[in-house]
Amino acid sequence: MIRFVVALPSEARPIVERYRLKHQEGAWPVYIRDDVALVVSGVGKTAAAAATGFLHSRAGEQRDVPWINVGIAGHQNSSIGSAFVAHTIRSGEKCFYPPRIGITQLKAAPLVTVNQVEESFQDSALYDMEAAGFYETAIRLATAELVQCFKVVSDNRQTAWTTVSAAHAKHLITESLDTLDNLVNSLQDLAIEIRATQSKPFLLQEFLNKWRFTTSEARRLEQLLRHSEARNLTATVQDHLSATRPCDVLTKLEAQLREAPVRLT
Amino acid sequence: MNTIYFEQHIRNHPRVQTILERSPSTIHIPIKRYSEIFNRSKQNFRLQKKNPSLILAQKFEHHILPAPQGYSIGGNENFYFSHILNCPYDCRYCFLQGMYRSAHYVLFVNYEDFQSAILNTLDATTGDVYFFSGYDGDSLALESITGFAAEFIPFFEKHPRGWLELRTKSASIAPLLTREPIRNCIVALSFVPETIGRALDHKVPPLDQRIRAARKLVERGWCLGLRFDPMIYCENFREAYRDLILNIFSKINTKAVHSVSVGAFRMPRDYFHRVEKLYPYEPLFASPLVDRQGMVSYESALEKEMRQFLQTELTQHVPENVIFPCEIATA
Repeated sequence: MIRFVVALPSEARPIVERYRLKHQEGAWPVYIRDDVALVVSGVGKTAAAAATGFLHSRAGEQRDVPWINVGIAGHQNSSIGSAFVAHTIRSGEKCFYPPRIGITQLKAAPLVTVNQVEESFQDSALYDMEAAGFYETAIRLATAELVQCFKVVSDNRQTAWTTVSAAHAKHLITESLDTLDNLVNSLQDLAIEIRATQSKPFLLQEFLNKWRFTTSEARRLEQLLRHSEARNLTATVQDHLSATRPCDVLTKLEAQLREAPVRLT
Repeated sequence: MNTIYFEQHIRNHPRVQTILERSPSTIHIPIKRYSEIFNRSKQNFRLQKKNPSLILAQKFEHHILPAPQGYSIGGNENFYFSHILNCPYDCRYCFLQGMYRSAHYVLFVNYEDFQSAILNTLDATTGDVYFFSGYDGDSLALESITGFAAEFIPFFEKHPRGWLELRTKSASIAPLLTREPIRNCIVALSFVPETIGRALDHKVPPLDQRIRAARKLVERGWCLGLRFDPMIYCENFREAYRDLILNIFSKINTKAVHSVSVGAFRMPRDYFHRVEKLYPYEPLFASPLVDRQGMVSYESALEKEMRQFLQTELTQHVPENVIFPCEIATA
């Protein structure tokens, strides 16, 4: 499960091919296969922000899915083809700090999002035109640990941006796909951990299908089933499916939890 | 630790310089204020606990605060201060998981301002004054980075009316063994029985190692505090706590015990709900807990039973007047 936001078709192509994504028409070009989705945002912060929201909607509005802005970037002195995750994203007065959890094996650098192509490279930082717009939107859709910017250096003080063709951009992203995979895998591990905390208790749906609970009863049922599962009482919970009334189910679950020995493992 | 954030305006503070110089392989990231990183919304404590960063910051106000009601080890004047927020251990019952959205460590490097505030507090009070240092973090666990004890023990040595409590789950006591003890510092170690610790005390040094550390401290002449707070209920809790107490007192000279505190697991309701969301299938949170006036804890009868049991066991080893119960304040 992953969402990519990419500015240019040439940057998108290697990812589309790697994940065998299928094109879908829309306000922005979107590519989807199973639970992987990519949008080609176009250049600039506003386009990146809007396309991020569009992809979220188009891909099913799932929360706490990893989001990665992938693209080429300029840098004062890093060599062409170097790949980084951004540890700081600055845009005018705004500054964001993507948490570095589970991804510390990757090289990191500050990133400045600018409105026009950077040529002077005042700071020793990556320069792009989308990350800040992407980030500000994506952190509304997922916990910040899952939102990252992955940039490959395409130009620097020795090699002007005017020399970067679409084919060269595609080549640079292609060459960095293995590194990108490391980032994807790390973020997916984090997302799996979050999903596990959001999972519903075993048998909840069966109970809900069998009886009609009020909203507060259903909430209490979910809590009791979760506690039963936490205390390894699931096997006996099944017996309560034979109860005759929903309130009996709750009473029996409560009694079972009260009477069972409290074990912490 | 792979990343250190530092507030730009304290870049030249000697403590910041030392920490950054000692960590050349970590990424150093300048920030304006620690609140840009710490405790922002849309962060996940559980994920951050996997790999917390260090944030070096300056604390501008409220350096010293009155200790919460019932937080006492015999003194009438009780205060706490937090040079550090969060700790490297991952104890499932810890309220910090619910208090903060971030698991990063925030180190307030302006120790000199904490010390000024301590002096002001001493000036404004009479008699012995207790200062608890391990309320929002572990006092010693990150000593190799913070140099906290190395800085504050000599300070308290000069101000004998002030008592410093270092509260810790660490076994790293080398800085205390390499210097002379002072009369007015209590090194307080927190314990739960081994079986409970195995289930709930993640990343904490093994029990035996910490009991050995306690013994070394006593042999060196330091005042020792024993903290059975929180007490955790489980099947066979009596046997588990009895074994723990016997284990500790078979290795430690009880005359060196300054104070023992005893308190059942309790957590403010809002914190509890946040922690429960982080670990919804944690058996501890499926224990017989109830909401008592906004504090989630065991039913008062069970809490009382646990506390009385432990107090009875403890009085076989230490005088009753060094045992301090921590109870839920009732309105």
